[in-house]
Amino acid sequence: MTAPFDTLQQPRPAYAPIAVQCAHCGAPLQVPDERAETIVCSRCDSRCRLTGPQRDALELVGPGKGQTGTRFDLPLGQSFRWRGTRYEVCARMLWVEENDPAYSTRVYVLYHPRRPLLFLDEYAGVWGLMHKVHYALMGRLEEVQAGRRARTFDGRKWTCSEVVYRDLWHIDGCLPWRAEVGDSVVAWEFDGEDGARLELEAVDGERELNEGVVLTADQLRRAMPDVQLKVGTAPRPVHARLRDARLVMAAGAFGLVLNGGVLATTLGSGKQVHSEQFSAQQLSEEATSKPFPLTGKGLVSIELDSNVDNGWMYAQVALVQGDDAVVHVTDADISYYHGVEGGESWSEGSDSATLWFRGAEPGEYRLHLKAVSGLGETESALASQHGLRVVVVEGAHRSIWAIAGLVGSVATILLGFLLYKGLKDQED
Amino acid sequence: MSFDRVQCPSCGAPLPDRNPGIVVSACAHCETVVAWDQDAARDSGHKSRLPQGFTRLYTGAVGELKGHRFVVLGRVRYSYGPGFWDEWCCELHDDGAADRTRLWITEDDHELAAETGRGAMALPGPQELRPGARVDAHGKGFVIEEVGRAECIGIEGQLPRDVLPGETYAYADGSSPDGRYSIGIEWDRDDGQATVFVGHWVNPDTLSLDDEGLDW
Repeated sequence: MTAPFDTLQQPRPAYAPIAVQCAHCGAPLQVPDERAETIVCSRCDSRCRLTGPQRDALELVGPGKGQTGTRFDLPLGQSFRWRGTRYEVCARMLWVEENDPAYSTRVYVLYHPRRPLLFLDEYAGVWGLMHKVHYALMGRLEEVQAGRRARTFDGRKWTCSEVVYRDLWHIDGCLPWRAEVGDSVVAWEFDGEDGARLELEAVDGERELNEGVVLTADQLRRAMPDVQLKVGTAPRPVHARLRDARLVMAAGAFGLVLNGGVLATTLGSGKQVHSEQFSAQQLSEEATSKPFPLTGKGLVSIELDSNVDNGWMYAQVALVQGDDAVVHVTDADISYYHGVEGGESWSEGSDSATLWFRGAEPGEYRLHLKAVSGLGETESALASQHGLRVVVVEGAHRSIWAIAGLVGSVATILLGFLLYKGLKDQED
Repeated sequence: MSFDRVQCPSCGAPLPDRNPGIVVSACAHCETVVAWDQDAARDSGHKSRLPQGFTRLYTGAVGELKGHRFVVLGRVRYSYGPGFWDEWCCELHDDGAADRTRLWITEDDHELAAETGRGAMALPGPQELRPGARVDAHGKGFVIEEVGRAECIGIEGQLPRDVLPGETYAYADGSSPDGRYSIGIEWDRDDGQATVFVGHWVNPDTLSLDDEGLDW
């Protein structure tokens, strides 16, 4: 026969921190947990080791808590409420990468007497919360580098964002392990789906895996309503940005192919319906072309090819239906200059231009043309000194958009490549 | 209903109601560790007092794990050198069940793992196991996380295990690669036989106690 539950049930023993005195200055200190191993005196900054089964014996280990003047956003003892449970900051640590304080991670150890520790960390204004896990990483850790994919045995996929070497520069409060300024760790940081983070730390041959999340400003506010924090946004992981850069390059390549195809198609498109040469004298007096038919399908392009050479031409062109029904009037500035300067040849402008018309009804049309032109620096003229060849094409496509698309595609590929290269350099 | 009413052989204080299979008790009054010897209480010559208030479980706690009600009968605290862990002996009590089964919940750095003894297994000795080694036990694969030597530094309550303060044994523990299951291995100090405990890591939110003591 066994004893019933009610005879065995007991009230919960009360929790009370352990009272000790600093081994160096005698200041009264409070040890929050019987598992504590390291405590830094809040008065004299001496670092003591806690020993004995009751953790009430202090042994002076060394002076100082490390880097003086270290700024922490949260004080020791700060309350942090997470999933209905209140934790307190029992220790603070400053970890520095590559001996460069610009790359500092502040870790706040969150304590509850009856729950596993949580680790609140802050790097460049981005806050995260981590806890220890027991699953393992597949494959050999030595082969894991930044950008590499990895899987854990619980079936999740991760991407290594960084492999970092950190040194402990500052410590205060009380910790359940032995720690001292100068301790080093190497950490593999991974990004998972939905903002999940994974960090594997290797210290003296031991490996510890912690999983967590990036905290939002709202989560931090709810966890610590009494604290105002500047919260940054987590940068997108390098591997994700590399993927973006590859996507940009792929989009550029796609645009290149597409616009190249469009350009190849448009360059030879349309049907020539009229071609005529006009002399300088004709143009000066206002010339009328021979009639030509238009079916009204698609765009009409009028290509003007002049023999302007180191000079300019201003031409007015009217599309006339029948004998005198003007349906569209436009003009064109043509200028072409070239030369040799300092041993190098140069040129600017073009001796041709293309005009576009849309919406012509089916019928017979003519062109009315009048032009003036000049040579060199002449700014005005009363007559044309140059002739003009006019070609009318119906059903043409404006290849300018395809050309612009091609240029844009090349620029996109270049941008993607520069992004990719920059990220790769950063990753290295 | 009657129970074996026993007094502490050292101070005469009444010991808790004795449950079947209990082989060691700690007197709450004088801290004497009492061993049951041929149905008689014997003073083991050891005293034991463990700190209170720093653990989630406690002797006399009643709670529920995965739908099973349990009561904590007692604990053993083992030291591994720089630190220690507790092994809580729990008795399961499901409504309608005639027998009560026992479960050990390990509490290490406030992490909980619920394990049951799976008996002896032919395993390599502790000298041959290293952290990272793979061990197959009861149809599951495990990765050893820690190998060391444990010393019992105290007991409290009632225990169905013959363990006294000062005793040492070699141990190893680990997890299944997916992090769900846990394993504990103890090597007998006399014959070197390995006893295996297999269980699962307990998500703190899946275990509830009638008195959680969340306000601290």
